[in-house]
Amino acid sequence: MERGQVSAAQVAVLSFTAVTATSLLTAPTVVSSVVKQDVWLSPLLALPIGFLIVWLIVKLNQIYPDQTLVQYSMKLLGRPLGIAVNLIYLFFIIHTTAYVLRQFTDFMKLTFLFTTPAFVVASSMILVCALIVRSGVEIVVRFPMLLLPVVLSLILMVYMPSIKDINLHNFEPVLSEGLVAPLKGAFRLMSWVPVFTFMNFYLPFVSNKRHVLWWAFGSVTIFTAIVFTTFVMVYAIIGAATPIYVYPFMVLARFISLTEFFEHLESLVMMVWVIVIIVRISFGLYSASLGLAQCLGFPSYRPLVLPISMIMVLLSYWSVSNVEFVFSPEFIIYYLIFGIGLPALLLTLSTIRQRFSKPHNGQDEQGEYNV
Amino acid sequence: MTHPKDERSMQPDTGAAPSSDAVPDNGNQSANSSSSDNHNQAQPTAQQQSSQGQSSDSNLTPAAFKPGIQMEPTPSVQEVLDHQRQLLGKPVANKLQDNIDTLRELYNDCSDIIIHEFDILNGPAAALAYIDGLSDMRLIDTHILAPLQQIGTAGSRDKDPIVKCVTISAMLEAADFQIVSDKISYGHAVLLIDGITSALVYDVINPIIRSIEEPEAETVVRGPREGFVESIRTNSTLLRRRLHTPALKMKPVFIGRYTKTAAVITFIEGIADPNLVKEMEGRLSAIDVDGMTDTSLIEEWIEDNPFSPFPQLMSTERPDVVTAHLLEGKIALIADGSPVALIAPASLMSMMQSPEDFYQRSLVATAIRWLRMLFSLITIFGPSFYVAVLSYHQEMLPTSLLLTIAVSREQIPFPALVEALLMEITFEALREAGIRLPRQVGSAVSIVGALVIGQAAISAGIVSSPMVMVVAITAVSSFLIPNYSLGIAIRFIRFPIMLCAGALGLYGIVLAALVILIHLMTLRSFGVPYLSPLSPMQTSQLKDTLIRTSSPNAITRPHLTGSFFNRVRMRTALYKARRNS
Repeated sequence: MERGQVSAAQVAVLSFTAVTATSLLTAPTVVSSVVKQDVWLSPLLALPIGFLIVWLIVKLNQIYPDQTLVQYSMKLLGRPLGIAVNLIYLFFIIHTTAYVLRQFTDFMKLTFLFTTPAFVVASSMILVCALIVRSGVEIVVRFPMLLLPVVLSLILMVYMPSIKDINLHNFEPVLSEGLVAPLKGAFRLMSWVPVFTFMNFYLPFVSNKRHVLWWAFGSVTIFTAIVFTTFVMVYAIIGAATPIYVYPFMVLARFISLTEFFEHLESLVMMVWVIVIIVRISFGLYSASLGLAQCLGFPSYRPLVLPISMIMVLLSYWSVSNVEFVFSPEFIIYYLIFGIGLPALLLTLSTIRQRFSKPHNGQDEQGEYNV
Repeated sequence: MTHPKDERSMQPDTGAAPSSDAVPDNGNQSANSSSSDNHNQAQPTAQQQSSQGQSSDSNLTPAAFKPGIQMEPTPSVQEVLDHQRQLLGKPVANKLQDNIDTLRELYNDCSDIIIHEFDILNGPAAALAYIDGLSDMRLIDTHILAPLQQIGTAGSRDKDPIVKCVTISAMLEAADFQIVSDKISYGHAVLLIDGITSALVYDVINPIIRSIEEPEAETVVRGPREGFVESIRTNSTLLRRRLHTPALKMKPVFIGRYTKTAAVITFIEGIADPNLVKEMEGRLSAIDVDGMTDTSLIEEWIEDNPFSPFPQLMSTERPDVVTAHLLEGKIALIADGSPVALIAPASLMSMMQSPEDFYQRSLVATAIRWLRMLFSLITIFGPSFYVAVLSYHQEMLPTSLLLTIAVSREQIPFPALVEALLMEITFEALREAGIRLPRQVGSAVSIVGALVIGQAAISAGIVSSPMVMVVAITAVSSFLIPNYSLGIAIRFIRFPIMLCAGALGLYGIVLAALVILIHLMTLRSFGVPYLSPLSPMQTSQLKDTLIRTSSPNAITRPHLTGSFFNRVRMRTALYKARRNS
């Protein structure tokens, strides 16, 4: 269906860029509203969950090296049940990606393009993503790698001038309400971390499979590091006012004044944001298109890209009534079901199968679909 | 005057279009192909002859509309082509008069053909055919005609004494008129002898070559000042003079049914990937056209994506550039009649390099390279950034600067986008006019240009002075790109980006830039990704991309594609040992 050779490092960069995408702007608000000054602890507490998720995915990939989750779930659950579960899983991917698109559209409407119709913003964005996805897995994976220096330098351009405003007293008192609040914050971060499961659609193309697990752990670690740094920077500068702002990172950029010439760097934030959101949406769009094509037995995923893009644009309006909805516990559990629940179930099933049907193992390894 | 002549007789290949060893295979090939064509068209010909009455009727009809002039019925295209094929397919006959007749028929209406009939002293009758001007008359007189008519063959009617008698080394035999006519058309002299069934072809080409000059499009301050000329033999000699090795291979290809343009694929055996050469040969062999007038047309036929604005083969007029690329394992194509060589595969970053980079000190060259990249980004994004900031992101500008711009824009009737488009299009027009206009008018254009993009335009209140500055900076920076075709491509993708900037501001610029980036990522040049050392990342190659290392540090060659990779290009043990002592 799709040929291409990517490296484990590229997939790692893709994953953490995609997962970091929305968290950079909204996560400080979302987490700090429950955790207050212990906000920096939450990403560290979320780290093990991230490790667990990528471990599950990589483990499953080691059992079925040439297959995506969609393919081996059909084998493990049986064809009818497998297709049903897959369709729900693919809807999860499309839905969450559409939600990211909605977040982006809202951001652009609220900060830069006040009069431009939201439809124009969303559709121009999704068209670029569709272009990336249609170019093949190699482009999807290489794209963030190529832009990583740009993204990092733009983020540093926001961080570096803000260092002088850091006030570490904002973090006092430490753990005044015990560990419960940071754990709640970590739970709220679970609306980002499960996105690492989309990795399973890229792992079959990885050529250096031996390093995958370490790169996947590295990917989660870098994600945690970026979120941690952002939380520290934002809360150290803005302090208890963080939950008031929708995009605290933007406020940070607005504060910058370098030699009284470089002021109002929020456009830089927007540029970073556009790039990482494109990575995030193409990450999801490719997964959804490839998964749907494999689920329905299509010879190529390419014809599905544009219809799915259209569905994403529509879903981004239709399914999301307001921004707050996403941080409700129900929504996070929805994420966790597909992020941890489904891979864990599949891994358990495959372990049981391996244990009980050793002789047929050789035949089972043959995938139904050629990747 | 005898001195240069002697030199040429010692080096008969100089200036000759197809090398005498190269042509026979191709001649045979083309003869074969034409004979097979003949075979294929034998049946249609027969049909046509049977229905000749009809076809001549249909040919008469247009003449019937012109009652005044009685036109003769013209033969159909098929008849003319078949006639030509039939003549070309003829072998050289035993009887001299038949051969002369065939030649005269082939070259009828050709006033520049000379068929000189004479008798060899004490030998058979002969005829010498050549094209006036294309062949060197003095060589023919002194080395063919004089010996044959004064010394002769001492009564023998065989070929060998005649061959011995003529004092030109570059000789080959041709058995049919396909080869004979090819050779005559290239400027060779063909000796037809009564009683001998092969024609003797002598290389007496009279090369009319422009002198070797410095290429105007790629000048350097320090470095060689040679440039290619229009003669393929001179060009290959220029390469051979830099690579004195039998490993420098030159594979001949002939392109075009009528032009029969000689082209040569050059590469260094042992460094270049043989599959790359095969791929190039395959793509060239698929070209079947009337004529090929320049390498840029060949480029259109062999590039991977013809719809991309970006050049996917590197073009250069400098033999030193070609040599450097050959040494990196790339292959080059030079063609007769074109002073531009094509280098494949080419990446975007290799086109951003100037030959000057390698002739200046590496640190300075690195700095210049960075300057060049910075200014090519300014070329692409400068005007659109200006438009976006003025239309959507005024808050990005410091207040004092914003006030200055606001004051100068107060009188301007256009929005920033229209103003920018107006000025940029005017600039492009002026640039194009500057190239196309005759030299005498050129200075007038520059004066008018200075008025249009200058003080007059500002004082007329058409454009604001910051806009003029932006256009001027863009104009200057676009000429920093060393490769001309890449420069044009980059200059023209500014316009869509400007429109995006006018529609969506910085968001539009980012989207447009990403679309261009994706396009560049999907582009390939002979299987090698266009953004090659950057994406996919090849860290060992960055030393000649983002920076220019000094020569002793550039130990490895770039890996292009495939498993054939001669990695190490130098041994530095001795150099380092001497340095450390």
